[in-house]
Amino acid sequence: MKSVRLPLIALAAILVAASTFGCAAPAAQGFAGIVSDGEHLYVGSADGQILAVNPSARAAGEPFPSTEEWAYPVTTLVRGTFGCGTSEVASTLYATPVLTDGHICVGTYDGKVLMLDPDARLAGMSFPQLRAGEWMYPRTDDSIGPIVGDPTVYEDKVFVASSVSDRGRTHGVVYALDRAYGDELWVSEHLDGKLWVTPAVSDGVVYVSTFDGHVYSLDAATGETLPWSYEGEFGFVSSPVIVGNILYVGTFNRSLIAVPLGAETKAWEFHANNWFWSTPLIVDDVLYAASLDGMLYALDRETGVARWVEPYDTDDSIAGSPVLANDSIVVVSQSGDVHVVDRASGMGARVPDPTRDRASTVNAEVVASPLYLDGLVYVRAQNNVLFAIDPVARSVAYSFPLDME
Amino acid sequence: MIEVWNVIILRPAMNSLIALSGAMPSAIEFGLAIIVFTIVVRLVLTPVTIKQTKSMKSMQELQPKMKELQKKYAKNKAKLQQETMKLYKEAGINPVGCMWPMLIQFPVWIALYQSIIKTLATTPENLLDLSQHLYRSETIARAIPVNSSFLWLDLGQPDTTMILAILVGGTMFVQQKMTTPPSPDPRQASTNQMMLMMMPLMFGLFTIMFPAGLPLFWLISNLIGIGTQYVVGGGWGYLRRGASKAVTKPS
Repeated sequence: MKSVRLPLIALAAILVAASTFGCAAPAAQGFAGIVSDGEHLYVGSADGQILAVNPSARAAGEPFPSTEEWAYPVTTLVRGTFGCGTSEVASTLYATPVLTDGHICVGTYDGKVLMLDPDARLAGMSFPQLRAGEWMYPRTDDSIGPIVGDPTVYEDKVFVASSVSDRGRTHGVVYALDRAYGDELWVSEHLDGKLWVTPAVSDGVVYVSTFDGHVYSLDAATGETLPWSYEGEFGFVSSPVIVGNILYVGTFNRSLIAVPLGAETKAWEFHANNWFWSTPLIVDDVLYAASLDGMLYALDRETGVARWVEPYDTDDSIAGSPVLANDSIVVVSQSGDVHVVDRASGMGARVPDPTRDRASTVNAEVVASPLYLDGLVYVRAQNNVLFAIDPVARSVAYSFPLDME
Repeated sequence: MIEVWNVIILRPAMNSLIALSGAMPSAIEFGLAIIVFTIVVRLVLTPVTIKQTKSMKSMQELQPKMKELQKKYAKNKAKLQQETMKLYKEAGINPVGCMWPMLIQFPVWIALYQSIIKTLATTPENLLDLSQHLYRSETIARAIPVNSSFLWLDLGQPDTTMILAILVGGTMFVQQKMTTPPSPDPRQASTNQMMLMMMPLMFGLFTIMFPAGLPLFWLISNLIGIGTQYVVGGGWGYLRRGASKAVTKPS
């Protein structure tokens, strides 16, 4: 009996130690952000729902769903471990929904692209309502691989980047879909490296940056890989952003680089103490970039020279992009602190005032980028709660649990 | 506590694994890095492993004498304990001491296990977390993110072909069989037989559930364990003896 007990105890000890030290890979949780049409907020929740939220109703504390509010659960079919049986589970959402022509475009981690019509969702009709302009791609149970970056809408097309595994290798693929019907217009050739990015489009060309350190350019009309590509010394961690013929992207070497489109060399490189995970905010000729080192940097867009005497230090890592709130830049640290920083001076403060309240602003992890609308900063935290922060009063205006049916 | 663990054990292990990965041929870099890293760690732990193997061997050699004592003092537990300790002392074995090598290896295996999972960064959350554990080094920055393809495997995904599961289960069975002595007691023999089957089956099942990087580490670890056992234990041990016994039994 003893000989049975010993290995079982040893195995149990291994499992306990493994779980204590976090040996098992944490499940994908998703960190979709918030988008607004000026009246409603559309947000992807941690339990795979797309919610239309009416800020006035939430501020008034009305029961959900109130006027023009709805929740649509995005689900996927999952096969059992041995391929036996399927079950319907909530999709994981990393991509922030995108608004286009009165519809909401959503990319899921299980490899689906959905176009939702707010009226059809409000009426609780089955999905997709083709007459209302709703569609899903692929139309079958197939998957196009994990979508992490946001879809990009350009003219009459939706572009999404995903990754596919082929004989043990992972390749990036860009899809162009018809915005109105969801038809597949083209699929790019296999690009080296995983694609967890939001495609950037400029002058009829789609740009994607890969983990392998390439920026590829594709013809937006045909999907053909164009001759210009930029090869960096290090992989690219963030999505590319293009402003005024210059592409900005974060590298795994803890730097942000600026590459003029068509050039073979970078215009400038700015080093931080950790990765630039999120895309920078560009206002006029200043680029505001948040780094996982906890700093918010203001850089000259043309030269990469720091604009502030000192970067603003949040004392924690920042995963979401900064947002503009009047004359301030708002950033949210991973531990859930909201910081309001003066655009001109780089001087800022935490919400609420740390001398009055030492707890973090939202008291939960935040990875998604915040949204500024009508004087409030909206933050979707990893505990699946939406917070509305008043940056002037430096207080939490209200919060709303997103897993509410 | 977790931060101490991260700074002293996890981060050095992770960064070494990533740096090693950067030095390998690009098509199979991380798979090779896991293999080399496992071998290096096993080599570093060789004195401890040898000590453990020898202790186990000595304990097994004492089994007949132990049986005699158990028979002799079946009704006097206190005397049995006293005589058992005396036997250990005469043979120069510390029964608790044979546990120490295992305990020393334990944190190393957990760190290696954790390093593989974290370095593979299969989800965006994992990659985000990885950023907080990396040293500031161009070598490491160049190697990130690691290429998860190796032979037919995507090390960040479970192996669906079952090949790895069979290899992990098979090598674990061989390793266990080499060190499990046949028992004259039918009940004990049946228990041993169950354990011999259960552990390989369990790890075979884990193999099809976990990202393939981990089963690869188990496979290499098992192979090195078999090699060490072969060299230190002097051959195939009970694997061969068990087989020959089974063949000769009918005559």
